[in-house]
Order: sequence, then structure tokens, then C-alpha cells
Amino acid sequence: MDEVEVLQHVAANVARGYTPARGCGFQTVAISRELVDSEDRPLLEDLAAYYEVSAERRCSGSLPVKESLFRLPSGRMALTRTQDWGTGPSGRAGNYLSAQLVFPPGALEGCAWDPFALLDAAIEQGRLADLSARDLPPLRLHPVESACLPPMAQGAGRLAEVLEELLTGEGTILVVGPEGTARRLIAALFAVLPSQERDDLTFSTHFYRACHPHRSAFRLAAIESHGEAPADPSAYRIWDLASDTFEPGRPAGLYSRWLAAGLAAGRFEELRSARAAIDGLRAGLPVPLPAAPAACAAVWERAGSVMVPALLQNPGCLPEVLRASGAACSLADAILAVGSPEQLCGFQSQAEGAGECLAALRVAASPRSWRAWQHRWRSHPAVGALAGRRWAWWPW
Amino acid sequence: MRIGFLRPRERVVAVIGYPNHGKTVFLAGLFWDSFFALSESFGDARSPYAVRAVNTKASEVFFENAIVLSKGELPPSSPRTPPEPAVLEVAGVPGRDGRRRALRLTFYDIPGEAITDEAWLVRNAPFLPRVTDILFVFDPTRSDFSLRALQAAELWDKIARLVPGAERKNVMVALSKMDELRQENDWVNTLAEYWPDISPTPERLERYLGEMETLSGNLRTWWTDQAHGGPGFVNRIHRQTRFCALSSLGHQPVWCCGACKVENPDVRLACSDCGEPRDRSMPLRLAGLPRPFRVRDPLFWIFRSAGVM
Repeated sequence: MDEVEVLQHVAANVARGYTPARGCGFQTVAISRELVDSEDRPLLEDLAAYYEVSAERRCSGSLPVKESLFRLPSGRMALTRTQDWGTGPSGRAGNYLSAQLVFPPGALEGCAWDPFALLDAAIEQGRLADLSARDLPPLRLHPVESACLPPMAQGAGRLAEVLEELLTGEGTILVVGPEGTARRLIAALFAVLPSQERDDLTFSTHFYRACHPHRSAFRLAAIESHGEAPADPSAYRIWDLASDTFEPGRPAGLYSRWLAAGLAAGRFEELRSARAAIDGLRAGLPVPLPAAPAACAAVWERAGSVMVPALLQNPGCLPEVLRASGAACSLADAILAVGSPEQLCGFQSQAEGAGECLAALRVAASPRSWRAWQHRWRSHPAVGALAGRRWAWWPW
Repeated sequence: MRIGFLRPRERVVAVIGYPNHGKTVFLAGLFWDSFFALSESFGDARSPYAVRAVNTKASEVFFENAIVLSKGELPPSSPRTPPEPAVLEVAGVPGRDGRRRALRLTFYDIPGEAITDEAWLVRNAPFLPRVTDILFVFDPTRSDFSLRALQAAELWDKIARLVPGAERKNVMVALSKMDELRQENDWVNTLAEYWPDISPTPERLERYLGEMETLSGNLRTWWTDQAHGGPGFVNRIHRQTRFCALSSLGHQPVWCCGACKVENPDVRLACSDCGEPRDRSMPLRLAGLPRPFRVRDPLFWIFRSAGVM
């Protein structure tokens, strides 16, 4: 993946920040000059401030690290890490440091990047832990893909429905459970989701109660327990990892079910292969399809009819793909719309394989599409063999 | 379910002040005083004085921060997020007529950094038009206090724009951290007779309320006599404004020298024993249990304004 140039913003509770006249308090400490007068700065400063820790967690020493990705008014994306930073200028605990990276619009489209690894690299490279007031130069970062990820065990039962909601719904999904689990899910989704779906995946780990006013900025938000949840739970779709409950909504589609099963089983290479196929097909590139029929069927649901020419390169897989797709009518209709039995079944159009392929298509396709195709190719021997006995409409 | 006329009266209190002027510690100290001192001095077999946290935020702001104080630590700084209501129910408040009444108080601890950002307040403090009591907390120990007089005046103007009818609200100005000042010339005469603080009994309540009036008058005079803007602030707030002087902890927090382990008061920048500069990463601690001084005065002013005392 190519290097990306990012702007920076750092905020904390300091005695003297970037704007000395503000005096003491939580404020911008350091910032890239390009952001100083930008339309994005107010939202950056606003969201940087959202970090709270319950007394229970503070006592236990288990202080959360909040990471979030959200869209800015200019169309840029902001990736943030906020964490406890010991004492403030007053000598009291509760100080926190918010380091934000701002990406140009479209900078990360088309590449499967790991947001958490990017934050690690930026913080190490950019000295963002330095609290002296200063200008920050843009950083040049090299996005990397997620490394091999462990399977998703907890909450696997409802994962398909959650994914369906994430891909096709609106509003914020609130994940209640260990924040590490939500973080692993987010990292995994960034590794396996196609580009178009990934670009809409805004998230916030450690979405404490007070974050409620900004829920619309995040599609996925995570909290450790119901005690940390916002006061108005009706504004969210809540996924409880411990009890594995998710308010039933739309039934999970084929892609969501397949993706959930793959994440739960840790089949990341298969998921990555499907991701690459979907991205390639949407871009009009010749790409190999996944070997597994179930993966092909899942790719169909996301990529749509652009997948048909690639499917026809390997017509032998058509019956299994059609079966794996649950005899998807739309897939069969799209295939029939392409053309002749030779195009559909390749060199095997005269052999038994062609018959199996056409039989599978006949079962899956809509009656209208099948009749139209059959009428169009009625003179072809393979089609004729499927025609069956013709009955005269006249009685004599 | 409480029948309407049996429900306690309700007040909405906005606690306002600049960063690190002591708002959060004041609220913890207020609860500490009510829980340990007033519940004893206002004891009554039939209608005992008691405070109850009604919602989760109140548990955090009052109970949990009081627990932190009991461990010898200071409550953590408040994050710069929209203030949430912390609801306390106070029962058994003795009135001048001998009857006991209840009051429900909703506190909003407004982040100090946000107080000068009018646009932020408009977005994140929609409760301001509903407040019944406005408590300004100022730390007079800061060297830039004359500047603060200007800022206090500006702050009042801002609040007056955001709170319709602000001039008719119960407004209180509390000077915090009096433990650091009471030995100084300006304050010796003003505070000496009131220190240490003794929680009043119902029988002594009338006298205590008189002390509050006297102290308020003395503090108004102190503000007015200050150079560089004191009268400018006092003259713009209404004459019914009450002034208080308090100490939420009763003593200065201390820091421990990393070199020789000697405890030093917060005000010192270097160790009194070995001269080692203060390590700012070391958290402040309390030198003993809190002994709040007159933190109840703003509470009593609220009780008076609500008609329950």
C-alpha cells in the first residue's frame, strides 16, 4: 500500500496549551498548521474530550484505551487514540491524552489497513506523547494489513445478524462486553470487508455514557458493561456478548452469514480472498473467484451481476454455487441473461456437465427468465433435451 | 409512587467555575459534610437528616468521590464532556418552624474549560434555562485573581445571557480553598471566629444562619475592596447574591518528594527538606481525613431559597 500523509492533533489537560490565552485545562496541545483554521478543528477538539472512566475501573487500575474512527465535516477521516495520562496540572488523577490522525478524503480507500497498527506507528513516529505546545508536521505513514487474527469466539451466535445490521442498516450498534473482543472484531472487519463497506465502518471503543450526543458519528461502539451504557438505550441496537443477544431485526443475508461463520472459524485467508474478489469485480478487473462455492455465493451477494462473466470462466462450479446461494433466483436470472448454452456452459455444452448446469439454472431461475431463455435457445440440443414432452393444446 | 404534594421540592443547581478552582472537590466535600456531620448534628428520631443519591451520576459525583477522599486521595479531574445531572435527595432538613422537610437537588458540574465557550454551552448545557440556583466557585489563592475578577464579571454576563431571568435566580459566589488563606492578613479577621467549623444543631441553626449573613456581607466587602475589578464584578450581580468562604478539605493536599519521601503542601514547588523540585507526575494526596469548612453554607442558602429552612 502507498504511503499516506496525515495531519495531527493532540489534546490533554495541560497548564499551557497551543492557545496560551486559554490558560489551564483540557485543550489542544499541538496541531498541524493545516488544521488550525479548518472546519474540522471544532469536531476534533470536541470528540477528543470524550473520555471517562468509572470509579470501579479506576480503582481496579484497568484503565481503558479509547480508539475511534469518524468522518469530519470536510470529508477527511479522523483516527483517534485516547488514554489515561496520569495527573494533570492540578496534581489530580484523571488526565488523558488524545492523539488524532487526520487522513485526506479517499486516502485509505482501496486498501485493507489495520487502524490499530496505524495508530501504534503514528504515535511512535510522531512523538505524540510530548505535551509541549507546538506545531505538528504532517506524518507519512505506511498502512499495513492486519496480521493473522484469532477466531471470534464470544458472541459468535449473533454475529451474522449484527453484520447484516452493520452492512445494510443505519444507526449505532452498541457492543456490550470486553472491549478487547470488540477491538478484535473491528480489526478483523477491516481486514476482510470490501473497500466500499469498510469505508463506512466508523467505530468507537470505550463508548462511555457521556458519548451519547455523538453517537451518529459511529456505526459501531463498544462499552465494557451495561453500567457504562448511555441513559437512552433505545437509540441503539445492543449486542450483548455475554448473553449473546441482539435485538432481532432484519434476517442475516447470505454474505453476513458466510462472513460470520468465517470470522468465528478463523478462515481469514478465505475471507481475504473474497474481499479481493469483490473489490476487483467492482473495479472491473479480471480477478480469480474464491474456490469455495459458499464464498462465491457470498461474493455474488455483494458484487452483483458484475460477477457473472467471472463465473462463466468456470461453469463447472455453477451448480454448487447456485446450491450454496440457496438457489438464488437473481443469480440464476443474471446468468441466463448472458446468452447461449455455449457461453453458459463452455466447451461442455454438449456433454452431461452442461445438462447438470442447465438443470441447476432451471431450478434456481425465475419461471419467466427460464421460459424466455428456453424459447430463445429452443433449437439448441442441450436446451431441447430439457424441454420435455410437448402437449398439443388441441384435443384432437 | 409518591403522591404529588408529598414529593420533595426540587431545585436545579449549576456549579460553575474555571478549571481547577475546586468544583468537583467541593461537591465531594459537601456530601462528606452532609453524610458525616449534618446527619449527626441534625439527628432526629422521627425525621432524620439523610442524603440519598437518586441516580448513577450522583453515585459517581458524591458517593464514589467521597470514598476516594476517605482513602486519602483527591477525586479525578472532571472530563470536558456535557454535564450530566447528579440528583441528590435530602430529607429531614430542619426548618425555622421546627418542621422537617425534604428537597431534591439536581447538580450540574459544568467543566471549567467549557465555561468560556458560549457556543459549547448552548449545545451541551440545555438545562441552563431551568436552573434555580447558580453557584460560582472561585479559587482566590491563584496569583492571577485580579484577572479572575475580570473573568468572573465576563462569566456572569455570559451566564446571564444563557439563563433567562438570571437576576432572579439564587446566586451564590463561593471562595474555595480557605484553608490556604485563613492565616493571611486579609482573612485572619474575617474567618478567625468561624474556624474550626462546627456543624450546627437545630437549636443553633438560627445563630448559624446569622453567621452566614454576616460572613456574606464581609465577603462582599472584601470583593468590593479588591483592586483591579472587584467592584466591577460585585456591581453587576444582583444585591441578593450570597457570598461564601469555604474549604472542601480543611487542609491543603500534599505531594510526596521522590528523593526524601517528605510530604510537602501543594503550594510548594520544591521539597522543604531536600530542595528537590516537585515531580508533577506524582498525584496529590490528603494529609488526613477531610475536615470541610463551611461547605454547607451554599447548601443552606439553597435550602433557604427553596423555603425548606
